[in-house]
Amino acid sequence: MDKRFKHTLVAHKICPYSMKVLTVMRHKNVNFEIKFIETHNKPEWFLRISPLGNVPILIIGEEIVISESAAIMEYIDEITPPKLMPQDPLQKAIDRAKFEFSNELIRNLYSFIFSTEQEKFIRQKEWLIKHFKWIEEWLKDGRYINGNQLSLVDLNFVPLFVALNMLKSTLPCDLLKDFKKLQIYGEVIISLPCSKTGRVPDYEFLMIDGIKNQNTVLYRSNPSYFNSDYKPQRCCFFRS
Amino acid sequence: MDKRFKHTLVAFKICPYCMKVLTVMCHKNVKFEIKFIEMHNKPDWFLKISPLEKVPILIIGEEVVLFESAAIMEYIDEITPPKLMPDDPMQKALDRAKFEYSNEIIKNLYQFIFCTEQDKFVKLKEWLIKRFQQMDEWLKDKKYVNGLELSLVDLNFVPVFVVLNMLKPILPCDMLKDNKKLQNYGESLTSLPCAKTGRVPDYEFLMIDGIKNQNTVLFRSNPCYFNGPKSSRCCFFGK
Repeated sequence: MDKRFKHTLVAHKICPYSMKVLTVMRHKNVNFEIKFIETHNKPEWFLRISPLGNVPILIIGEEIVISESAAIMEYIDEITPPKLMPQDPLQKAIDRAKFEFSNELIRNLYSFIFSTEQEKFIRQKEWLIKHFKWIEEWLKDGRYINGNQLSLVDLNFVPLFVALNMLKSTLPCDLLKDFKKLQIYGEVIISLPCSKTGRVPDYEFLMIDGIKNQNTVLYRSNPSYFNSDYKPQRCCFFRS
Repeated sequence: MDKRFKHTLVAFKICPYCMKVLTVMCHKNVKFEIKFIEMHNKPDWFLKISPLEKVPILIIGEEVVLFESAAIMEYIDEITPPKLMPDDPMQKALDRAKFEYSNEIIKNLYQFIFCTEQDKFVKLKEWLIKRFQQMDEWLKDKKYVNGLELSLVDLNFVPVFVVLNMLKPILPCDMLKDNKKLQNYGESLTSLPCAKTGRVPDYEFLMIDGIKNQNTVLFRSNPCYFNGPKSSRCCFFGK
C-alpha cells in the first residue's frame, strides 16, 4: 500500500456501515487512524468535507475524501492484494448488489432495534425474517457466500450478525430460529478475527444504552435485562 | 458482449434508477429486451426474483438476476469495452461515491416533485440547492465530472437534469439559476444521444400526470400549467 498517504477513517462508534469498513481494514491490516464523531453533534470540519454528512468517510492524505462504505471497502480491497472481490464482471455485479442488500437489512435491523412503536416493531421483524430467506438461499453448501473462500461480500454481513448476537438475550425468540444455514454462517462470520477487532470495545454497551434510553419496544418488553447490573456474559465477545 | 445470454431489463416507466441503467445500455448499444411493470401492482414472478422488490433488475439468460442500478451499470460497462469507469482504484472509489450521491439527489428531487406539504417542499428545495452548489465545486471548469471525457459517473446524473429540464416551466424560479456551470453540464448531459433514448417517450407526460393527480404542492402552485393544453415541450422528445 502506498504509504505516502495517511488514511484516516471518520466514524460513529455504533454505526454499522463504519463497522463494515473497520472490519475490512482490520482484515487487510491497513495502517490507519480513526476519528470518532457524534451522530447528533457533527463538527463543522466534518460537514464541510462529507458530501452527504454521513459516516464513514476515509480521508486520504490531506485532501481526498472517499465517502460511501461500499466505495471505501472496494478501494481498500484493491490497494491491498490479494483482492477479496472476484474478477469476473458478472460475479462482481452479483456481489455488489449483495452489498446493498446487506445495507437494507442492517438499516431495517437498526430500525427494529430502536423502534418505539409496537406495530412498527412487528412489521420490521416480519420484514427481516422475510429477507433472511434470500441469504439462506445464497449460502447453498459453502462456508461462505461464494463457496469456501471468504470474499468481500461476506464482510458486509458482519454488522448484521454482531447485532443479532447482541440481541439473542434480549428477544423472546431468536430471529434466526428457522434459518439453520444462517446460524452457522453467522457463527463463522463473527468468529473471524477482523469481526472482533472491527468494532469499538464498547459497541454492545453503547447499543444497550441506546435501546434503554430511547424507551424502545425492546426495552419495554424486557426491562429487567436492561436494568440489571449484571454485565452480560458476552463481555468475552470483545476479546481479541 | 457474450450473446449467449439474453439481457432483459425490468423497469418502471418513470423510475429514475431504471433511467440510469437504460441510459448506459443505450450509450453502449447493448442488445436487450425491456419489460415494464407497475409500481403499485408488482407481479408475483417479479417479487420472487427481486430480493428487495425493487427495479431495475437485469435478468441474464434464464436465471441470473442482477439488482441495484450501480451494480448493473458497472457490469454493463465492463462487458462492453472501452470502459467508462476509470482504472485507478482511488478514482473509481471517488466515482462510486458519486453514484450514491446522485441517488440521494434523485431521491430528494422526486420527493420534492411529488411533495404534498408546503413546509417539506421548501426544505427539500433548500437541500437540493445546497447539493447543486456542491456539485458546482466538483465541476470547476470541466466539461464532465472527470475532465473532457465522459465517464460512467456522468451518466448517473442524467435523470437529475432530465427532471430539472421538465420542471423549468413549472417552478417559479429555476433551481439552477445561479449555477452557470451546472446549467452547462446539464445541457451537455441532456444532449447526449443516450440521454434522449434512455427513457420512455411518455416519461414527461407520466410525470406531469402524477404531479397533478397526487395533489402536490407543485400542482397547487401552478394549476393552469397542469390543466392547460399540451406544452410546447413535445419537442423535448424529438431526436
